[in-house]
Amino acid sequence: MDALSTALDLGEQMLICGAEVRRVEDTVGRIGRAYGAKRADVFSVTSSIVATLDMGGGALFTQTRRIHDQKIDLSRLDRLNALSREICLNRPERGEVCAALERMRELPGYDPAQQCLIYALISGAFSLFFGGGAMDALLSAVIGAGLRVVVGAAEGMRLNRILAGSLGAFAGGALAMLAVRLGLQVSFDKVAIGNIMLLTPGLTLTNALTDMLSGDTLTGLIRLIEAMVTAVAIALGFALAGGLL
Amino acid sequence: MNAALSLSAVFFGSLGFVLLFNVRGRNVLPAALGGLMAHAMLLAALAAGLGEAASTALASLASALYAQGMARLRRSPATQFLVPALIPLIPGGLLYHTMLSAVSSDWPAFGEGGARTLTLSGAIAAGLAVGAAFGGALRMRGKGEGK
Repeated sequence: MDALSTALDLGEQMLICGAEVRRVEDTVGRIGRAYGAKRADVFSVTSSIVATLDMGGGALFTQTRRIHDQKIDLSRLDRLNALSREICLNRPERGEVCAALERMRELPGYDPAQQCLIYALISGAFSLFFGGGAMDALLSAVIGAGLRVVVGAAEGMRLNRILAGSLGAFAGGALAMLAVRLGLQVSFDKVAIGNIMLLTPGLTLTNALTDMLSGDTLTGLIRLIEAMVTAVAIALGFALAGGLL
Repeated sequence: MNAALSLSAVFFGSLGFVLLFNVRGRNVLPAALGGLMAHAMLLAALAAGLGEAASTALASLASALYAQGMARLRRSPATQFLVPALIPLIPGGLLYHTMLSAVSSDWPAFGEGGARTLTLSGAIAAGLAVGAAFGGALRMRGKGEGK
Protein backbone atom coordinates (compact mmCIF):
# COMPACT_ATOMS: atom_id res chain seq x y z
CA MET A 1 0.00 0.00 0.00
CA ASP A 2 2.23 2.78 -1.33
CA ALA A 3 -0.01 5.71 -0.47
CA LEU A 4 -0.10 4.73 3.19
CA SER A 5 3.67 4.24 3.36
CA THR A 6 4.27 7.59 1.65
CA ALA A 7 1.90 9.39 3.99
CA LEU A 8 3.52 7.83 7.04
CA ASP A 9 7.05 8.55 5.78
CA LEU A 10 6.15 12.21 5.70
CA GLY A 11 4.39 12.08 9.05
CA GLU A 12 7.29 10.27 10.68
CA GLN A 13 9.86 12.78 9.42
CA MET A 14 7.69 15.71 10.48
CA LEU A 15 7.31 14.33 13.99
CA ILE A 16 11.08 13.85 14.25
CA CYS A 17 11.67 17.45 13.13
CA GLY A 18 9.38 18.74 15.86
CA ALA A 19 6.01 19.25 14.17
CA GLU A 20 2.89 19.46 16.29
CA VAL A 21 0.94 16.21 16.55
CA ARG A 22 -2.11 17.86 15.09
CA ARG A 23 -0.19 18.94 11.99
CA VAL A 24 1.16 15.42 11.53
CA GLU A 25 -2.31 13.86 11.74
CA ASP A 26 -3.58 16.45 9.29
CA THR A 27 -0.79 15.83 6.77
CA VAL A 28 -1.04 12.04 6.87
CA GLY A 29 -4.80 12.21 6.38
CA ARG A 30 -4.53 14.67 3.49
CA ILE A 31 -1.98 12.59 1.63
CA GLY A 32 -4.07 9.46 2.15
CA ARG A 33 -7.15 11.17 0.72
CA ALA A 34 -5.12 12.64 -2.15
CA TYR A 35 -4.29 9.07 -3.21
CA GLY A 36 -7.94 8.14 -3.20
CA ALA A 37 -8.77 7.04 0.34
CA LYS A 38 -12.47 7.44 1.09
CA ARG A 39 -11.66 7.87 4.71
CA ALA A 40 -8.45 8.32 6.67
CA ASP A 41 -8.24 7.74 10.41
CA VAL A 42 -4.96 8.96 11.81
CA PHE A 43 -3.90 9.01 15.41
CA SER A 44 -0.55 10.27 16.56
CA VAL A 45 1.21 10.96 19.81
CA THR A 46 4.80 12.16 20.07
CA SER A 47 6.23 8.66 19.84
CA SER A 48 3.87 6.85 17.49
CA ILE A 49 1.60 7.26 14.49
CA VAL A 50 -1.15 4.85 13.45
CA ALA A 51 -3.17 5.36 10.31
CA THR A 52 -5.96 3.44 8.62
CA LEU A 53 -6.94 4.23 5.04
CA ASP A 54 -10.27 3.06 3.72
CA MET A 55 -9.79 2.71 -0.04
CA GLY A 56 -13.41 1.70 -0.60
CA GLY A 57 -14.85 -1.71 -1.43
CA GLY A 58 -13.82 -3.10 1.94
CA ALA A 59 -10.11 -2.51 1.32
CA LEU A 60 -8.71 -1.23 4.62
CA PHE A 61 -5.01 -0.64 5.19
CA THR A 62 -3.36 0.06 8.51
CA GLN A 63 0.23 0.84 9.39
CA THR A 64 1.99 2.06 12.50
CA ARG A 65 5.25 3.89 12.96
CA ARG A 66 7.15 4.09 16.20
CA ILE A 67 9.19 7.29 16.58
CA HIS A 68 12.15 7.05 18.89
CA ASP A 69 14.05 10.26 18.62
CA GLN A 70 13.29 13.89 18.13
CA LYS A 71 15.68 16.44 16.69
CA ILE A 72 14.10 19.82 16.12
CA ASP A 73 14.98 21.00 12.63
CA LEU A 74 12.76 23.81 11.45
CA SER A 75 14.14 24.22 7.96
CA ARG A 76 13.64 20.54 7.21
CA LEU A 77 10.12 20.84 8.57
CA ASP A 78 9.62 23.70 6.14
CA ARG A 79 10.73 21.48 3.24
CA LEU A 80 8.57 18.57 4.44
CA ASN A 81 5.55 20.85 4.41
CA ALA A 82 6.32 21.94 0.87
CA LEU A 83 6.79 18.32 -0.15
CA SER A 84 3.48 17.25 1.37
CA ARG A 85 1.68 20.02 -0.48
CA GLU A 86 3.31 18.88 -3.69
CA ILE A 87 2.36 15.26 -3.03
CA CYS A 88 -1.28 16.19 -2.52
CA LEU A 89 -1.24 18.20 -5.74
CA ASN A 90 0.66 15.88 -8.10
CA ARG A 91 0.39 12.44 -6.46
CA PRO A 92 3.90 11.29 -7.47
CA GLU A 93 5.07 7.65 -7.46
CA ARG A 94 6.44 6.37 -4.19
CA GLY A 95 9.96 6.16 -5.63
CA GLU A 96 9.98 9.88 -6.33
CA VAL A 97 8.89 10.70 -2.79
CA CYS A 98 11.57 8.43 -1.33
CA ALA A 99 14.17 10.13 -3.52
CA ALA A 100 12.98 13.55 -2.38
CA LEU A 101 13.18 12.47 1.28
CA GLU A 102 16.65 11.07 0.68
CA ARG A 103 17.80 14.35 -0.88
CA MET A 104 16.43 16.17 2.14
CA ARG A 105 18.49 13.99 4.44
CA GLU A 106 21.65 15.06 2.65
CA LEU A 107 21.01 18.77 3.17
CA PRO A 108 23.65 20.34 5.35
CA GLY A 109 23.11 20.96 9.04
CA TYR A 110 25.54 22.98 11.06
CA ASP A 111 28.74 20.99 11.60
CA PRO A 112 29.94 20.12 15.13
CA ALA A 113 32.35 23.06 15.35
CA GLN A 114 29.61 25.50 14.36
CA GLN A 115 27.29 23.85 16.85
CA CYS A 116 29.85 24.40 19.62
CA LEU A 117 29.70 28.11 18.77
CA ILE A 118 25.90 28.03 18.80
CA TYR A 119 25.90 26.39 22.24
CA ALA A 120 28.39 29.02 23.43
CA LEU A 121 26.23 31.84 22.08
CA ILE A 122 23.11 30.58 23.83
CA SER A 123 24.89 29.99 27.14
CA GLY A 124 26.63 33.36 27.15
CA ALA A 125 23.52 35.29 26.18
CA PHE A 126 21.31 33.68 28.81
CA SER A 127 23.93 34.03 31.51
CA LEU A 128 23.86 37.78 30.82
CA PHE A 129 20.07 37.74 30.59
CA PHE A 130 19.72 36.22 34.05
CA GLY A 131 21.98 38.85 35.58
CA GLY A 132 25.45 37.42 35.15
CA GLY A 133 28.46 39.68 34.59
CA ALA A 134 30.84 39.61 31.62
CA MET A 135 33.07 37.05 33.35
CA ASP A 136 30.11 34.74 34.13
CA ALA A 137 28.87 34.97 30.55
CA LEU A 138 32.28 34.22 29.12
CA LEU A 139 32.78 31.16 31.30
CA SER A 140 29.23 29.99 30.61
CA ALA A 141 29.94 30.28 26.87
CA VAL A 142 33.11 28.20 27.17
CA ILE A 143 31.33 25.53 29.21
CA GLY A 144 28.45 25.66 26.71
CA ALA A 145 30.83 24.76 23.89
CA GLY A 146 32.11 21.91 26.05
CA LEU A 147 28.53 20.75 26.64
CA ARG A 148 28.10 20.25 22.92
CA VAL A 149 30.95 17.74 23.08
CA VAL A 150 29.32 15.92 26.01
CA VAL A 151 25.92 15.89 24.30
CA GLY A 152 27.54 14.65 21.09
CA ALA A 153 29.29 11.87 22.97
CA ALA A 154 26.05 10.88 24.70
CA GLU A 155 24.32 10.72 21.32
CA GLY A 156 27.18 8.60 20.02
CA MET A 157 26.73 6.18 22.90
CA ARG A 158 22.98 6.15 22.25
CA LEU A 159 22.21 7.12 25.83
CA ASN A 160 18.56 7.83 26.46
CA ARG A 161 17.53 11.48 26.51
CA ILE A 162 16.91 11.71 30.25
CA LEU A 163 20.26 10.21 31.18
CA ALA A 164 22.05 12.33 28.56
CA GLY A 165 20.50 15.48 30.02
CA SER A 166 21.55 14.51 33.49
CA LEU A 167 25.07 13.73 32.33
CA GLY A 168 25.31 17.06 30.47
CA ALA A 169 24.06 18.92 33.54
CA PHE A 170 26.58 17.14 35.75
CA ALA A 171 29.44 17.96 33.38
CA GLY A 172 28.35 21.60 33.10
CA GLY A 173 27.93 21.91 36.85
CA ALA A 174 31.27 20.28 37.57
CA LEU A 175 33.11 22.66 35.22
CA ALA A 176 31.39 25.70 36.73
CA MET A 177 32.20 24.45 40.25
CA LEU A 178 35.80 23.85 39.24
CA ALA A 179 36.07 27.46 38.06
CA VAL A 180 34.67 28.70 41.36
CA ARG A 181 37.08 26.52 43.34
CA LEU A 182 40.00 27.73 41.23
CA GLY A 183 39.19 31.19 42.52
CA LEU A 184 37.78 32.75 39.32
CA GLN A 185 35.52 35.69 40.13
CA VAL A 186 32.32 34.02 38.95
CA SER A 187 29.06 32.97 40.52
CA PHE A 188 28.09 29.30 40.15
CA ASP A 189 24.40 30.12 39.66
CA LYS A 190 24.94 32.77 36.98
CA VAL A 191 27.30 30.55 35.00
CA ALA A 192 25.11 27.48 35.36
CA ILE A 193 21.85 29.18 34.28
CA GLY A 194 23.26 29.83 30.81
CA ASN A 195 24.00 26.14 30.37
CA ILE A 196 20.69 25.14 31.92
CA MET A 197 18.84 27.01 29.18
CA LEU A 198 20.44 24.62 26.69
CA LEU A 199 19.25 21.52 28.47
CA THR A 200 15.98 22.53 30.05
CA PRO A 201 12.78 21.22 28.46
CA GLY A 202 10.96 24.54 28.68
CA LEU A 203 9.70 24.26 25.13
CA THR A 204 8.33 20.78 25.82
CA LEU A 205 6.47 22.12 28.84
CA THR A 206 4.91 24.93 26.84
CA ASN A 207 3.99 22.55 24.03
CA ALA A 208 2.37 20.28 26.60
CA LEU A 209 -0.01 22.99 27.71
CA THR A 210 -0.65 24.10 24.13
CA ASP A 211 -1.58 20.52 23.21
CA MET A 212 -3.95 20.25 26.15
CA LEU A 213 -5.60 23.55 25.30
CA SER A 214 -6.19 22.41 21.72
CA GLY A 215 -7.74 19.14 22.88
CA ASP A 216 -4.80 16.77 22.46
CA THR A 217 -4.92 15.83 26.11
CA LEU A 218 -2.98 12.60 25.76
CA THR A 219 -0.05 14.17 23.93
CA GLY A 220 -0.11 17.04 26.38
CA LEU A 221 0.12 14.68 29.34
CA ILE A 222 2.97 12.72 27.78
CA ARG A 223 4.89 15.94 27.12
CA LEU A 224 4.16 17.32 30.58
CA ILE A 225 5.52 14.23 32.32
CA GLU A 226 8.49 14.12 29.97
CA ALA A 227 9.33 17.76 30.71
CA MET A 228 9.08 17.18 34.45
CA VAL A 229 11.21 14.06 34.47
CA THR A 230 13.85 15.69 32.27
CA ALA A 231 13.90 18.79 34.46
CA VAL A 232 14.38 16.67 37.59
CA ALA A 233 17.22 14.78 35.91
CA ILE A 234 18.93 18.04 34.95
CA ALA A 235 18.43 19.55 38.39
CA LEU A 236 19.92 16.40 39.92
CA GLY A 237 22.95 16.61 37.63
CA PHE A 238 23.64 20.24 38.49
CA ALA A 239 22.92 19.76 42.18
CA LEU A 240 25.30 16.81 42.47
CA ALA A 241 28.07 18.70 40.69
CA GLY A 242 27.52 21.96 42.55
CA GLY A 243 27.37 20.34 45.99
CA LEU A 244 23.90 21.80 46.45
CA LEU A 245 22.45 18.66 48.00
CA MET B 1 19.43 45.19 34.99
CA ASN B 2 19.09 47.81 32.30
CA ALA B 3 16.68 47.13 29.48
CA ALA B 4 19.17 47.60 26.63
CA LEU B 5 21.47 44.91 27.99
CA SER B 6 18.62 42.50 28.67
CA LEU B 7 17.16 43.09 25.21
CA SER B 8 20.44 42.48 23.44
CA ALA B 9 21.05 39.38 25.57
CA VAL B 10 17.61 38.13 24.54
CA PHE B 11 18.33 38.83 20.89
CA PHE B 12 21.53 36.80 20.92
CA GLY B 13 19.93 34.04 22.99
CA SER B 14 17.08 33.76 20.49
CA LEU B 15 19.54 33.89 17.61
CA GLY B 16 21.34 30.95 19.22
CA PHE B 17 18.16 28.89 19.36
CA VAL B 18 17.24 29.88 15.81
CA LEU B 19 20.56 28.43 14.66
CA LEU B 20 20.28 25.42 16.97
CA PHE B 21 16.93 24.55 15.40
CA ASN B 22 18.54 24.87 11.97
CA VAL B 23 16.56 27.78 10.63
CA ARG B 24 18.54 28.95 7.62
CA GLY B 25 19.22 31.82 5.29
CA ARG B 26 16.91 34.78 5.09
CA ASN B 27 14.59 33.55 7.84
CA VAL B 28 17.29 33.67 10.54
CA LEU B 29 17.12 37.38 11.31
CA PRO B 30 13.32 37.78 11.43
CA ALA B 31 13.11 34.65 13.60
CA ALA B 32 15.63 36.00 16.11
CA LEU B 33 13.96 39.43 16.07
CA GLY B 34 10.76 37.67 17.15
CA GLY B 35 12.41 36.82 20.47
CA LEU B 36 13.46 40.43 20.90
CA MET B 37 9.95 41.62 20.09
CA ALA B 38 8.35 39.18 22.56
CA HIS B 39 10.64 40.22 25.38
CA ALA B 40 10.11 43.93 24.65
CA MET B 41 6.37 43.29 24.76
CA LEU B 42 6.73 41.51 28.09
CA LEU B 43 8.76 44.38 29.57
CA ALA B 44 6.28 46.95 28.27
CA ALA B 45 3.31 45.07 29.73
CA LEU B 46 5.07 44.69 33.09
CA ALA B 47 5.95 48.39 33.07
CA ALA B 48 2.30 49.20 32.35
CA GLY B 49 1.46 47.49 35.63
CA LEU B 50 0.09 44.18 34.35
CA GLY B 51 0.83 41.04 36.36
CA GLU B 52 3.44 38.47 35.40
CA ALA B 53 0.99 35.98 33.91
CA ALA B 54 -1.07 38.57 32.02
CA SER B 55 2.09 40.15 30.58
CA THR B 56 3.37 36.76 29.48
CA ALA B 57 0.05 35.91 27.84
CA LEU B 58 0.08 39.23 26.02
CA ALA B 59 3.65 38.76 24.82
CA SER B 60 2.78 35.24 23.69
CA LEU B 61 -0.22 36.52 21.74
CA ALA B 62 2.06 39.11 20.12
CA SER B 63 4.50 36.33 19.20
CA ALA B 64 1.75 34.28 17.60
CA LEU B 65 0.60 37.22 15.50
CA TYR B 66 4.19 38.11 14.59
CA ALA B 67 4.88 34.52 13.53
CA GLN B 68 1.75 34.35 11.39
CA GLY B 69 2.52 37.67 9.78
CA MET B 70 6.09 36.62 9.03
CA ALA B 71 4.93 33.25 7.75
CA ARG B 72 2.70 34.94 5.24
CA LEU B 73 5.38 37.43 4.26
CA ARG B 74 8.05 34.78 3.82
CA ARG B 75 5.77 31.94 2.69
CA SER B 76 7.18 29.48 5.20
CA PRO B 77 5.52 27.77 8.18
CA ALA B 78 4.82 29.91 11.23
CA THR B 79 6.65 27.45 13.52
CA GLN B 80 9.99 28.81 12.28
CA PHE B 81 9.17 32.21 13.71
CA LEU B 82 7.02 31.16 16.63
CA VAL B 83 9.42 28.88 18.49
CA PRO B 84 12.28 31.41 18.65
CA ALA B 85 9.89 34.19 19.68
CA LEU B 86 8.67 32.11 22.61
CA ILE B 87 12.16 31.28 23.89
CA PRO B 88 12.51 34.33 26.17
CA LEU B 89 8.99 33.82 27.57
CA ILE B 90 9.35 30.14 28.37
CA PRO B 91 9.99 29.64 32.08
CA GLY B 92 12.92 27.26 31.59
CA GLY B 93 15.01 28.75 34.36
CA LEU B 94 12.03 28.67 36.69
CA LEU B 95 11.34 25.03 35.84
CA TYR B 96 14.93 24.20 36.70
CA HIS B 97 14.84 26.07 40.02
CA THR B 98 11.58 24.33 40.87
CA MET B 99 13.06 20.91 40.28
CA LEU B 100 16.20 21.96 42.13
CA SER B 101 14.06 22.65 45.19
CA ALA B 102 12.50 19.22 44.73
CA VAL B 103 15.83 17.39 44.71
CA SER B 104 16.94 19.37 47.76
CA SER B 105 13.61 18.63 49.51
CA ASP B 106 12.66 22.28 49.82
CA TRP B 107 8.95 21.58 49.43
CA PRO B 108 7.55 25.09 50.04
CA ALA B 109 9.82 26.49 47.29
CA PHE B 110 8.89 23.54 45.07
CA GLY B 111 5.18 24.25 45.48
CA GLU B 112 5.56 27.95 44.80
CA GLY B 113 7.95 27.47 41.88
CA GLY B 114 5.78 24.74 40.40
CA ALA B 115 2.66 26.86 40.58
CA ARG B 116 4.47 29.81 38.97
CA THR B 117 5.99 27.63 36.24
CA LEU B 118 2.65 26.09 35.36
CA THR B 119 0.90 29.47 35.46
CA LEU B 120 3.42 31.05 33.10
CA SER B 121 3.40 28.08 30.70
CA GLY B 122 -0.39 28.17 30.80
CA ALA B 123 -0.30 31.90 30.06
CA ILE B 124 1.90 31.25 27.02
CA ALA B 125 -0.43 28.50 25.81
CA ALA B 126 -3.45 30.74 26.32
CA GLY B 127 -1.84 33.56 24.34
CA LEU B 128 -1.02 31.13 21.55
CA ALA B 129 -4.57 29.75 21.50
CA VAL B 130 -6.03 33.23 21.12
CA GLY B 131 -3.43 34.04 18.46
CA ALA B 132 -4.26 30.87 16.54
CA ALA B 133 -7.96 31.68 16.70
CA PHE B 134 -7.29 35.15 15.29
CA GLY B 135 -5.09 33.72 12.56
CA GLY B 136 -7.68 31.07 11.66
CA ALA B 137 -10.41 33.70 11.42
CA LEU B 138 -8.27 35.88 9.16
CA ARG B 139 -7.39 32.98 6.90
CA MET B 140 -11.01 31.96 6.53
CA ARG B 141 -12.01 35.47 5.58
CA GLY B 142 -9.18 35.60 3.08
CA LYS B 143 -10.30 32.44 1.35
CA GLY B 144 -13.97 32.95 1.87
CA GLU B 145 -14.29 29.45 3.33
CA GLY B 146 -13.17 27.21 6.16
CA LYS B 147 -10.84 24.35 5.37
